[in-house]
Amino acid sequence: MRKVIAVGALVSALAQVPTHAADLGSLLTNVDFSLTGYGTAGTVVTSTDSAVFIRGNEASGATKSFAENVDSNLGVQATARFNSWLAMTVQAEDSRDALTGVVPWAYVKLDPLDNLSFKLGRVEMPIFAISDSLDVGYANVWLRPPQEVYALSNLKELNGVEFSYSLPLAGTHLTLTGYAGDTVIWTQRYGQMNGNDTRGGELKWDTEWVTLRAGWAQAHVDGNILIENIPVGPIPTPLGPVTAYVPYNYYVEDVYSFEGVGALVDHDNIIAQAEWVKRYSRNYPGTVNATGWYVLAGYRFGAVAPYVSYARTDKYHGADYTAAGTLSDDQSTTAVGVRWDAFKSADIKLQAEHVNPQGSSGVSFAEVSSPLGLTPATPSGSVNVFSVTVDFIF
Amino acid sequence: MKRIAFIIMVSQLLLATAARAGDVVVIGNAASPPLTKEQVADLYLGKSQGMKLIDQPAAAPIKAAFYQEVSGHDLSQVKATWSRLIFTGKATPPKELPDSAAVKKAVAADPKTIGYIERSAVDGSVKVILDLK
Repeated sequence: MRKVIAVGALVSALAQVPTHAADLGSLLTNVDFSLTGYGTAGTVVTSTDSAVFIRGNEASGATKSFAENVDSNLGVQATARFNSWLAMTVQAEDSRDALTGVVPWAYVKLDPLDNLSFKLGRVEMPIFAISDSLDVGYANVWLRPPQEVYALSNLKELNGVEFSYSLPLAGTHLTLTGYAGDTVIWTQRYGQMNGNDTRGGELKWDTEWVTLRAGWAQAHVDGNILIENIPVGPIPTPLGPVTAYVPYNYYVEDVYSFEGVGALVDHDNIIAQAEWVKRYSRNYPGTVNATGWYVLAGYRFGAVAPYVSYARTDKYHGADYTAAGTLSDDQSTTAVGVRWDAFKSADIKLQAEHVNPQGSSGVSFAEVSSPLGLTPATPSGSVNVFSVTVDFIF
Repeated sequence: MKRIAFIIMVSQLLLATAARAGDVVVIGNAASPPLTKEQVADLYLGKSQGMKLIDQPAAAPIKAAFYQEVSGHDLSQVKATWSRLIFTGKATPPKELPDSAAVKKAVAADPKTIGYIERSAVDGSVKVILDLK
Protein backbone atom coordinates (compact mmCIF):
# COMPACT_ATOMS: atom_id res chain seq x y z
CA MET A 1 0.00 0.00 0.00
CA ARG A 2 2.76 2.38 0.83
CA LYS A 3 5.70 2.88 -1.42
CA VAL A 4 8.63 4.31 0.41
CA ILE A 5 11.14 5.79 -1.94
CA ALA A 6 14.66 6.44 -0.85
CA VAL A 7 14.87 10.11 -1.55
CA GLY A 8 18.14 10.14 0.35
CA ALA A 9 20.23 9.19 -2.67
CA LEU A 10 18.52 11.79 -4.79
CA VAL A 11 19.21 14.67 -2.48
CA SER A 12 22.54 13.61 -1.09
CA ALA A 13 24.08 15.96 -3.64
CA LEU A 14 22.55 18.79 -1.63
CA ALA A 15 24.13 17.47 1.52
CA GLN A 16 27.53 17.65 -0.15
CA VAL A 17 27.31 21.44 -0.22
CA PRO A 18 29.25 21.89 2.98
CA THR A 19 28.47 25.37 4.35
CA HIS A 20 24.96 26.65 5.09
CA ALA A 21 23.27 23.74 3.45
CA ALA A 22 24.39 21.30 6.13
CA ASP A 23 21.17 21.52 8.13
CA LEU A 24 19.01 21.47 5.03
CA GLY A 25 21.02 18.54 3.74
CA SER A 26 20.47 16.48 6.86
CA LEU A 27 16.78 17.39 6.76
CA LEU A 28 16.45 16.25 3.17
CA THR A 29 18.51 13.07 3.38
CA ASN A 30 16.06 11.70 5.92
CA VAL A 31 12.94 12.46 3.92
CA ASP A 32 10.41 9.67 4.03
CA PHE A 33 8.44 10.04 0.82
CA SER A 34 5.26 8.12 0.19
CA LEU A 35 2.85 8.01 -2.69
CA THR A 36 -0.59 6.55 -2.04
CA GLY A 37 -3.94 6.67 -3.73
CA TYR A 38 -7.59 5.76 -3.58
CA GLY A 39 -10.44 5.44 -5.97
CA THR A 40 -13.97 4.30 -6.60
CA ALA A 41 -15.45 2.92 -9.80
CA GLY A 42 -19.19 2.62 -9.79
CA THR A 43 -22.45 2.89 -11.61
CA VAL A 44 -25.93 4.03 -10.59
CA VAL A 45 -29.39 3.57 -12.10
CA THR A 46 -32.76 4.89 -10.88
CA SER A 47 -36.44 4.21 -11.49
CA THR A 48 -37.19 7.58 -13.09
CA ASP A 49 -36.39 9.68 -16.14
CA SER A 50 -38.15 12.73 -14.68
CA ALA A 51 -35.04 14.03 -12.84
CA VAL A 52 -31.39 13.02 -12.56
CA PHE A 53 -30.06 11.62 -9.29
CA ILE A 54 -26.90 13.45 -8.24
CA ARG A 55 -24.45 13.35 -5.34
CA GLY A 56 -23.43 16.69 -3.88
CA ASN A 57 -22.93 19.33 -6.57
CA GLU A 58 -22.48 17.05 -9.53
CA ALA A 59 -23.16 18.41 -12.97
CA SER A 60 -24.88 15.24 -14.18
CA GLY A 61 -26.22 12.02 -12.74
CA ALA A 62 -28.28 8.89 -13.11
CA THR A 63 -31.73 8.25 -14.53
CA LYS A 64 -33.09 5.00 -15.98
CA SER A 65 -29.82 5.16 -17.91
CA PHE A 66 -26.75 4.05 -15.94
CA ALA A 67 -24.36 6.84 -14.85
CA GLU A 68 -20.77 6.18 -13.86
CA ASN A 69 -19.90 9.66 -12.63
CA VAL A 70 -22.09 9.67 -9.51
CA ASP A 71 -19.68 7.86 -7.18
CA SER A 72 -16.54 7.33 -9.27
CA ASN A 73 -13.38 9.20 -8.35
CA LEU A 74 -9.61 8.83 -8.20
CA GLY A 75 -7.20 10.48 -5.79
CA VAL A 76 -3.43 10.49 -5.43
CA GLN A 77 -1.55 11.71 -2.38
CA ALA A 78 2.11 12.52 -1.92
CA THR A 79 3.48 12.91 1.60
CA ALA A 80 6.99 13.93 2.51
CA ARG A 81 7.94 13.50 6.15
CA PHE A 82 11.12 15.40 6.93
CA ASN A 83 11.42 14.49 10.60
CA SER A 84 9.25 13.80 13.62
CA TRP A 85 7.69 17.27 13.57
CA LEU A 86 7.58 18.39 9.93
CA ALA A 87 5.66 16.87 7.01
CA MET A 88 4.07 17.98 3.76
CA THR A 89 0.98 16.49 2.14
CA VAL A 90 -0.54 17.18 -1.26
CA GLN A 91 -3.56 15.36 -2.59
CA ALA A 92 -5.09 15.68 -6.04
CA GLU A 93 -8.44 14.23 -6.94
CA ASP A 94 -10.28 13.74 -10.18
CA SER A 95 -13.54 14.54 -8.56
CA ARG A 96 -17.22 13.99 -9.10
CA ASP A 97 -17.61 17.59 -8.15
CA ALA A 98 -17.57 19.79 -11.23
CA LEU A 99 -16.11 22.89 -9.67
CA THR A 100 -13.93 22.27 -6.66
CA GLY A 101 -12.13 19.47 -4.94
CA VAL A 102 -9.36 19.16 -7.47
CA VAL A 103 -6.79 19.66 -4.71
CA PRO A 104 -8.61 18.79 -1.47
CA TRP A 105 -5.46 18.85 0.65
CA ALA A 106 -2.17 20.76 0.32
CA TYR A 107 -0.53 21.61 3.59
CA VAL A 108 2.54 21.69 5.76
CA LYS A 109 2.04 19.90 9.07
CA LEU A 110 3.96 20.83 12.18
CA ASP A 111 3.90 18.65 15.30
CA PRO A 112 5.63 20.65 18.02
CA LEU A 113 4.41 18.13 20.63
CA ASP A 114 3.19 14.54 20.35
CA ASN A 115 -0.39 15.68 20.99
CA LEU A 116 -0.38 19.00 19.17
CA SER A 117 -0.33 19.64 15.44
CA PHE A 118 -0.75 22.59 13.10
CA LYS A 119 -1.68 22.39 9.44
CA LEU A 120 -0.96 25.38 7.24
CA GLY A 121 -2.40 25.46 3.73
CA ARG A 122 -5.49 23.84 2.29
CA VAL A 123 -7.45 21.43 4.45
CA GLU A 124 -10.89 19.82 4.55
CA MET A 125 -12.85 21.22 7.48
CA PRO A 126 -14.23 18.70 10.01
CA ILE A 127 -17.84 19.69 9.35
CA PHE A 128 -19.19 16.15 9.78
CA ALA A 129 -18.22 13.05 11.74
CA ILE A 130 -16.67 11.72 8.53
CA SER A 131 -15.54 14.79 6.63
CA ASP A 132 -11.92 14.12 5.99
CA SER A 133 -12.22 10.68 4.42
CA LEU A 134 -15.53 11.30 2.69
CA ASP A 135 -14.03 10.79 -0.74
CA VAL A 136 -12.17 7.62 0.25
CA GLY A 137 -14.85 5.00 -0.36
CA TYR A 138 -12.63 2.25 1.03
CA ALA A 139 -12.47 3.97 4.42
CA ASN A 140 -16.24 3.80 4.96
CA VAL A 141 -18.94 1.18 5.36
CA TRP A 142 -21.58 2.94 3.27
CA LEU A 143 -21.54 3.16 -0.50
CA ARG A 144 -22.17 6.90 -0.35
CA PRO A 145 -22.81 9.21 2.60
CA PRO A 146 -26.50 10.00 3.28
CA GLN A 147 -27.16 13.08 1.12
CA GLU A 148 -29.79 14.36 3.55
CA VAL A 149 -26.87 15.24 5.85
CA TYR A 150 -23.73 15.32 3.74
CA ALA A 151 -25.14 17.36 0.84
CA LEU A 152 -26.26 20.13 3.18
CA SER A 153 -22.85 21.70 3.77
CA ASN A 154 -21.95 24.16 1.06
CA LEU A 155 -18.50 24.94 2.46
CA LYS A 156 -15.54 23.75 0.42
CA GLU A 157 -11.91 23.36 1.44
CA LEU A 158 -10.37 25.90 3.78
CA ASN A 159 -7.28 27.91 2.87
CA GLY A 160 -5.87 28.79 6.24
CA VAL A 161 -4.64 27.21 9.43
CA GLU A 162 -5.91 24.34 11.54
CA PHE A 163 -4.70 23.19 14.95
CA SER A 164 -5.50 19.95 16.69
CA TYR A 165 -4.77 19.08 20.32
CA SER A 166 -5.34 15.61 21.66
CA LEU A 167 -5.58 15.01 25.38
CA PRO A 168 -5.25 11.46 26.72
CA LEU A 169 -7.99 10.88 29.26
CA ALA A 170 -8.09 7.63 31.24
CA GLY A 171 -7.50 5.40 28.24
CA THR A 172 -9.60 7.60 25.94
CA HIS A 173 -8.74 10.60 23.78
CA LEU A 174 -10.28 14.04 23.79
CA THR A 175 -9.38 16.02 20.67
CA LEU A 176 -9.99 19.70 20.11
CA THR A 177 -9.62 21.05 16.57
CA GLY A 178 -9.94 24.67 15.53
CA TYR A 179 -9.50 26.36 12.18
CA ALA A 180 -9.64 29.76 10.49
CA GLY A 181 -9.18 31.02 6.95
CA ASP A 182 -11.02 31.57 3.71
CA THR A 183 -13.18 29.23 1.70
CA VAL A 184 -15.80 29.28 -1.01
CA ILE A 185 -19.47 28.49 -0.69
CA TRP A 186 -20.76 26.49 -3.61
CA THR A 187 -24.42 25.84 -4.22
CA GLN A 188 -26.03 24.05 -7.09
CA ARG A 189 -28.59 26.76 -7.67
CA TYR A 190 -26.55 29.93 -7.19
CA GLY A 191 -22.98 28.97 -8.01
CA GLN A 192 -20.00 30.22 -6.09
CA MET A 193 -19.62 32.87 -3.38
CA ASN A 194 -16.73 33.92 -1.15
CA GLY A 195 -16.58 32.50 2.34
CA ASN A 196 -14.37 35.02 4.10
CA ASP A 197 -13.33 34.94 7.70
CA THR A 198 -14.34 31.31 8.01
CA ARG A 199 -13.76 29.67 11.36
CA GLY A 200 -14.92 26.68 13.27
CA GLY A 201 -14.05 23.89 15.60
CA GLU A 202 -14.66 20.33 16.62
CA LEU A 203 -14.60 18.54 19.95
CA LYS A 204 -14.18 14.79 19.66
CA TRP A 205 -14.05 12.05 22.26
CA ASP A 206 -12.69 8.66 21.24
CA THR A 207 -12.78 5.48 23.25
CA GLU A 208 -11.74 2.07 21.97
CA TRP A 209 -15.08 1.62 20.21
CA VAL A 210 -17.09 4.85 20.44
CA THR A 211 -16.49 8.27 18.90
CA LEU A 212 -18.67 11.21 19.94
CA ARG A 213 -18.24 14.58 18.27
CA ALA A 214 -19.69 18.05 18.05
CA GLY A 215 -18.68 20.58 15.41
CA TRP A 216 -19.42 24.12 14.41
CA ALA A 217 -18.43 26.35 11.46
CA GLN A 218 -19.24 29.88 10.42
CA ALA A 219 -18.41 31.93 7.33
CA HIS A 220 -19.02 35.49 6.21
CA VAL A 221 -20.45 35.11 2.75
CA ASP A 222 -20.47 37.63 -0.02
CA GLY A 223 -20.57 37.60 -3.77
CA ASN A 224 -22.65 38.12 -6.84
CA ILE A 225 -24.93 35.19 -7.36
CA LEU A 226 -26.54 34.29 -10.62
CA ILE A 227 -30.31 34.48 -10.17
CA GLU A 228 -31.21 33.65 -13.75
CA ASN A 229 -30.30 34.23 -17.36
CA ILE A 230 -32.83 36.64 -18.83
CA PRO A 231 -33.60 36.20 -22.52
CA VAL A 232 -33.16 39.38 -24.59
CA GLY A 233 -34.23 39.66 -28.18
CA PRO A 234 -34.62 38.45 -30.75
CA ILE A 235 -31.83 40.81 -31.84
CA PRO A 236 -31.47 41.24 -35.61
CA THR A 237 -27.99 40.26 -36.81
CA PRO A 238 -26.53 39.70 -40.30
CA LEU A 239 -27.06 35.97 -39.67
CA GLY A 240 -30.70 36.43 -38.70
CA PRO A 241 -32.48 37.15 -35.40
CA VAL A 242 -30.70 35.83 -32.26
CA THR A 243 -31.90 35.55 -28.67
CA ALA A 244 -29.24 36.59 -26.19
CA TYR A 245 -29.15 35.63 -22.51
CA VAL A 246 -28.09 38.27 -20.03
CA PRO A 247 -27.09 37.03 -16.60
CA TYR A 248 -29.04 38.69 -13.82
CA ASN A 249 -26.74 38.89 -10.80
CA TYR A 250 -27.60 39.81 -7.29
CA TYR A 251 -25.17 40.84 -4.54
CA VAL A 252 -25.50 38.74 -1.42
CA GLU A 253 -24.01 39.29 2.03
CA ASP A 254 -24.68 36.85 4.83
CA VAL A 255 -23.40 34.96 7.84
CA TYR A 256 -23.62 31.25 7.14
CA SER A 257 -23.39 28.72 9.96
CA PHE A 258 -23.26 24.95 10.16
CA GLU A 259 -23.29 22.77 13.23
CA GLY A 260 -23.62 19.11 13.97
CA VAL A 261 -23.25 16.28 16.45
CA GLY A 262 -22.45 12.65 15.72
CA ALA A 263 -21.72 9.24 17.21
CA LEU A 264 -19.78 6.38 15.64
CA VAL A 265 -19.69 2.90 17.15
CA ASP A 266 -17.50 0.00 16.04
CA HIS A 267 -17.65 -2.75 18.62
CA ASP A 268 -16.90 -6.42 17.96
CA ASN A 269 -18.81 -6.79 14.71
CA ILE A 270 -21.42 -4.12 15.31
CA ILE A 271 -21.25 -0.89 13.34
CA ALA A 272 -23.56 2.02 14.19
CA GLN A 273 -23.47 5.66 13.13
CA ALA A 274 -25.77 8.61 13.71
CA GLU A 275 -25.48 12.33 13.00
CA TRP A 276 -27.62 15.43 13.24
CA VAL A 277 -26.72 18.68 11.46
CA LYS A 278 -28.18 22.16 11.12
CA ARG A 279 -27.48 24.79 8.46
CA TYR A 280 -28.59 28.35 9.02
CA SER A 281 -28.27 31.88 7.75
CA ARG A 282 -28.59 35.31 9.31
CA ASN A 283 -30.20 37.04 6.31
CA TYR A 284 -31.83 34.30 4.22
CA PRO A 285 -33.35 31.72 6.61
CA GLY A 286 -36.05 30.59 4.19
CA THR A 287 -33.45 29.92 1.51
CA VAL A 288 -30.75 28.36 3.67
CA ASN A 289 -32.03 26.96 6.98
CA ALA A 290 -32.39 23.19 7.13
CA THR A 291 -31.73 20.27 9.45
CA GLY A 292 -30.67 16.76 8.55
CA TRP A 293 -30.04 13.48 10.37
CA TYR A 294 -29.39 9.82 9.73
CA VAL A 295 -28.94 6.54 11.55
CA LEU A 296 -27.01 3.58 10.17
CA ALA A 297 -26.56 0.09 11.59
CA GLY A 298 -24.50 -2.75 10.24
CA TYR A 299 -22.97 -6.06 11.21
CA ARG A 300 -19.71 -7.58 10.08
CA PHE A 301 -19.91 -11.27 9.14
CA GLY A 302 -16.21 -11.69 8.39
CA ALA A 303 -15.55 -9.98 5.07
CA VAL A 304 -19.23 -9.19 4.45
CA ALA A 305 -20.92 -6.27 6.20
CA PRO A 306 -24.60 -5.63 5.45
CA TYR A 307 -26.11 -2.36 6.67
CA VAL A 308 -29.35 -0.37 6.72
CA SER A 309 -29.79 3.37 7.05
CA TYR A 310 -32.48 5.99 7.26
CA ALA A 311 -31.82 9.67 6.54
CA ARG A 312 -34.01 12.71 6.50
CA THR A 313 -33.71 16.46 5.89
CA ASP A 314 -36.31 19.09 6.73
CA LYS A 315 -36.24 22.48 5.09
CA TYR A 316 -37.27 25.54 7.07
CA HIS A 317 -40.32 26.86 5.23
CA GLY A 318 -40.14 30.37 6.70
CA ALA A 319 -41.43 33.65 5.31
CA ASP A 320 -38.81 34.05 2.59
CA TYR A 321 -38.98 30.40 1.46
CA THR A 322 -39.76 29.71 -2.19
CA ALA A 323 -39.59 26.30 -3.81
CA ALA A 324 -37.80 27.94 -6.74
CA GLY A 325 -35.19 29.64 -4.58
CA THR A 326 -34.34 27.24 -1.75
CA LEU A 327 -30.84 25.74 -1.50
CA SER A 328 -32.31 22.32 -0.77
CA ASP A 329 -35.67 20.87 0.19
CA ASP A 330 -37.29 18.05 2.14
CA GLN A 331 -36.18 14.48 1.48
CA SER A 332 -35.88 11.10 3.18
CA THR A 333 -34.02 7.96 2.13
CA THR A 334 -34.18 4.38 3.34
CA ALA A 335 -31.17 2.38 2.18
CA VAL A 336 -29.95 -1.20 2.45
CA GLY A 337 -26.48 -2.15 1.33
CA VAL A 338 -23.54 -4.43 1.76
CA ARG A 339 -19.78 -3.98 1.86
CA TRP A 340 -17.78 -7.03 0.85
CA ASP A 341 -14.02 -6.94 1.43
CA ALA A 342 -13.48 -9.15 -1.57
CA PHE A 343 -9.84 -8.33 -2.26
CA LYS A 344 -6.72 -7.37 -0.33
CA SER A 345 -7.02 -3.63 -0.97
CA ALA A 346 -10.43 -3.36 -2.59
CA ASP A 347 -14.05 -3.84 -1.64
CA ILE A 348 -17.29 -4.28 -3.56
CA LYS A 349 -20.44 -2.47 -2.40
CA LEU A 350 -24.08 -2.72 -3.39
CA GLN A 351 -26.79 -0.33 -2.23
CA ALA A 352 -30.53 -0.04 -2.89
CA GLU A 353 -32.34 3.11 -1.81
CA HIS A 354 -35.87 4.38 -1.70
CA VAL A 355 -35.68 8.18 -1.94
CA ASN A 356 -38.75 10.25 -1.12
CA PRO A 357 -38.35 13.96 -1.98
CA GLN A 358 -41.85 14.63 -0.69
CA GLY A 359 -43.04 16.47 -3.77
CA SER A 360 -40.01 18.78 -3.83
CA SER A 361 -36.62 18.70 -5.53
CA GLY A 362 -35.13 17.36 -2.27
CA VAL A 363 -31.34 17.35 -2.15
CA SER A 364 -30.53 14.70 -4.73
CA PHE A 365 -32.38 15.69 -7.90
CA ALA A 366 -31.64 17.99 -10.84
CA GLU A 367 -33.13 18.72 -14.23
CA VAL A 368 -32.45 16.11 -16.88
CA SER A 369 -31.48 18.74 -19.39
CA SER A 370 -30.45 22.18 -18.17
CA PRO A 371 -28.44 24.06 -20.79
CA LEU A 372 -27.98 27.16 -18.61
CA GLY A 373 -26.51 25.46 -15.58
CA LEU A 374 -27.72 22.77 -13.27
CA THR A 375 -31.11 23.38 -11.68
CA PRO A 376 -32.82 21.35 -8.97
CA ALA A 377 -35.83 19.45 -10.30
CA THR A 378 -38.78 17.60 -8.78
CA PRO A 379 -39.06 13.95 -9.76
CA SER A 380 -42.51 12.47 -10.20
CA GLY A 381 -42.97 10.68 -6.86
CA SER A 382 -40.49 8.54 -4.91
CA VAL A 383 -37.43 7.18 -6.66
CA ASN A 384 -35.63 3.88 -6.26
CA VAL A 385 -31.87 4.01 -6.73
CA PHE A 386 -29.51 1.06 -7.27
CA SER A 387 -25.76 1.46 -7.04
CA VAL A 388 -22.68 -0.73 -7.25
CA THR A 389 -19.11 0.36 -6.61
CA VAL A 390 -15.62 -1.01 -6.25
CA ASP A 391 -13.44 0.98 -3.84
CA PHE A 392 -9.69 0.53 -3.82
CA ILE A 393 -6.54 1.96 -2.27
CA PHE A 394 -2.98 1.72 -3.49
CA MET B 1 -21.94 -36.87 14.83
CA LYS B 2 -21.39 -34.35 12.07
CA ARG B 3 -22.13 -31.55 14.50
CA ILE B 4 -19.55 -32.85 16.99
CA ALA B 5 -16.99 -33.09 14.21
CA PHE B 6 -17.81 -29.50 13.27
CA ILE B 7 -17.44 -28.28 16.86
CA ILE B 8 -14.09 -30.05 17.16
CA MET B 9 -12.97 -28.52 13.89
CA VAL B 10 -14.00 -25.01 14.99
CA SER B 11 -12.39 -25.34 18.41
CA GLN B 12 -9.19 -26.61 16.80
CA LEU B 13 -9.22 -23.61 14.52
CA LEU B 14 -9.72 -21.29 17.49
CA LEU B 15 -6.97 -23.03 19.43
CA ALA B 16 -4.64 -22.74 16.46
CA THR B 17 -5.31 -18.99 16.26
CA ALA B 18 -4.86 -18.58 19.99
CA ALA B 19 -1.60 -20.47 19.95
CA ARG B 20 -0.26 -18.28 17.20
CA ALA B 21 -1.36 -15.06 18.90
CA GLY B 22 0.33 -16.21 22.10
CA ASP B 23 3.64 -16.24 20.29
CA VAL B 24 3.70 -12.54 19.49
CA VAL B 25 5.75 -10.06 21.51
CA VAL B 26 6.10 -6.32 21.10
CA ILE B 27 9.72 -5.25 21.21
CA GLY B 28 11.58 -2.03 21.83
CA ASN B 29 15.07 -0.75 22.29
CA ALA B 30 16.93 -1.65 25.50
CA ALA B 31 16.02 1.86 26.78
CA SER B 32 12.27 1.57 26.00
CA PRO B 33 9.75 1.57 28.86
CA PRO B 34 7.10 -1.19 28.89
CA LEU B 35 3.78 -0.45 27.14
CA THR B 36 0.26 -1.68 27.83
CA LYS B 37 -1.85 -3.47 25.23
CA GLU B 38 -4.09 -0.37 24.97
CA GLN B 39 -1.09 1.89 24.31
CA VAL B 40 0.19 -0.44 21.59
CA ALA B 41 -3.31 -0.66 20.04
CA ASP B 42 -3.64 3.16 20.04
CA LEU B 43 -0.25 3.51 18.36
CA TYR B 44 -0.85 0.85 15.71
CA LEU B 45 -4.37 2.13 14.92
CA GLY B 46 -3.13 5.72 14.61
CA LYS B 47 -4.95 7.05 17.68
CA SER B 48 -1.76 8.23 19.31
CA GLN B 49 1.63 9.24 18.00
CA GLY B 50 5.10 9.59 19.39
CA MET B 51 6.76 6.32 18.41
CA LYS B 52 8.14 5.07 15.11
CA LEU B 53 6.20 1.92 14.30
CA ILE B 54 7.47 -1.07 12.37
CA ASP B 55 5.04 -3.42 10.69
CA GLN B 56 5.36 -6.87 9.16
CA PRO B 57 4.21 -7.71 5.61
CA ALA B 58 0.56 -8.67 5.11
CA ALA B 59 1.63 -12.10 3.88
CA ALA B 60 3.27 -12.90 7.24
CA PRO B 61 0.79 -14.73 9.54
CA ILE B 62 2.17 -12.81 12.53
CA LYS B 63 0.64 -9.57 11.23
CA ALA B 64 -2.97 -10.77 11.40
CA ALA B 65 -2.28 -12.43 14.79
CA PHE B 66 -0.77 -9.22 16.19
CA TYR B 67 -3.64 -6.93 15.16
CA GLN B 68 -6.26 -9.44 16.26
CA GLU B 69 -4.57 -9.77 19.65
CA VAL B 70 -4.04 -6.07 20.41
CA SER B 71 -7.17 -4.58 18.85
CA GLY B 72 -9.58 -7.39 17.96
CA HIS B 73 -9.58 -6.09 14.38
CA ASP B 74 -8.91 -8.14 11.28
CA LEU B 75 -6.56 -6.86 8.59
CA SER B 76 -9.27 -5.41 6.33
CA GLN B 77 -10.59 -3.35 9.26
CA VAL B 78 -7.05 -2.21 10.05
CA LYS B 79 -6.57 -1.25 6.43
CA ALA B 80 -9.84 0.72 6.33
CA THR B 81 -8.85 2.50 9.57
CA TRP B 82 -5.47 3.48 8.15
CA SER B 83 -6.98 4.60 4.85
CA ARG B 84 -8.98 7.13 6.90
CA LEU B 85 -5.82 8.41 8.57
CA ILE B 86 -3.42 8.32 5.63
CA PHE B 87 -5.61 10.23 3.20
CA THR B 88 -6.12 13.03 5.67
CA GLY B 89 -2.49 13.20 6.74
CA LYS B 90 -3.46 12.61 10.37
CA ALA B 91 -0.88 9.94 10.97
CA THR B 92 1.98 8.22 9.27
CA PRO B 93 1.39 4.48 8.88
CA PRO B 94 3.85 1.93 10.33
CA LYS B 95 6.84 1.24 8.15
CA GLU B 96 6.70 -2.23 6.68
CA LEU B 97 9.87 -4.33 6.87
CA PRO B 98 10.26 -7.73 5.20
CA ASP B 99 10.76 -9.99 8.27
CA SER B 100 11.37 -10.25 12.01
CA ALA B 101 15.16 -9.99 11.60
CA ALA B 102 14.75 -6.62 9.85
CA VAL B 103 12.28 -5.49 12.54
CA LYS B 104 14.79 -6.36 15.29
CA LYS B 105 17.58 -4.48 13.52
CA ALA B 106 15.44 -1.32 13.15
CA VAL B 107 14.23 -1.46 16.77
CA ALA B 108 17.71 -2.07 18.18
CA ALA B 109 19.03 0.97 16.33
CA ASP B 110 16.53 3.55 17.58
CA PRO B 111 15.02 4.06 21.06
CA LYS B 112 11.89 5.68 19.53
CA THR B 113 11.11 2.61 17.40
CA ILE B 114 8.92 -0.36 18.32
CA GLY B 115 7.86 -3.48 16.43
CA TYR B 116 6.51 -6.96 16.94
CA ILE B 117 8.06 -10.37 16.31
CA GLU B 118 7.63 -14.03 17.26
CA ARG B 119 8.68 -14.82 20.81
CA SER B 120 11.17 -17.36 19.45
CA ALA B 121 12.95 -14.60 17.48
CA VAL B 122 13.73 -12.47 20.57
CA ASP B 123 17.44 -12.05 21.35
CA GLY B 124 19.68 -9.73 23.38
CA SER B 125 19.55 -6.89 20.84
CA VAL B 126 15.96 -5.97 21.77
CA LYS B 127 13.72 -5.85 24.83
CA VAL B 128 10.22 -7.30 25.16
CA ILE B 129 8.02 -4.34 26.14
CA LEU B 130 4.68 -6.19 25.88
CA ASP B 131 4.07 -9.92 25.88
CA LEU B 132 0.82 -10.80 24.07
CA LYS B 133 0.27 -14.04 26.00
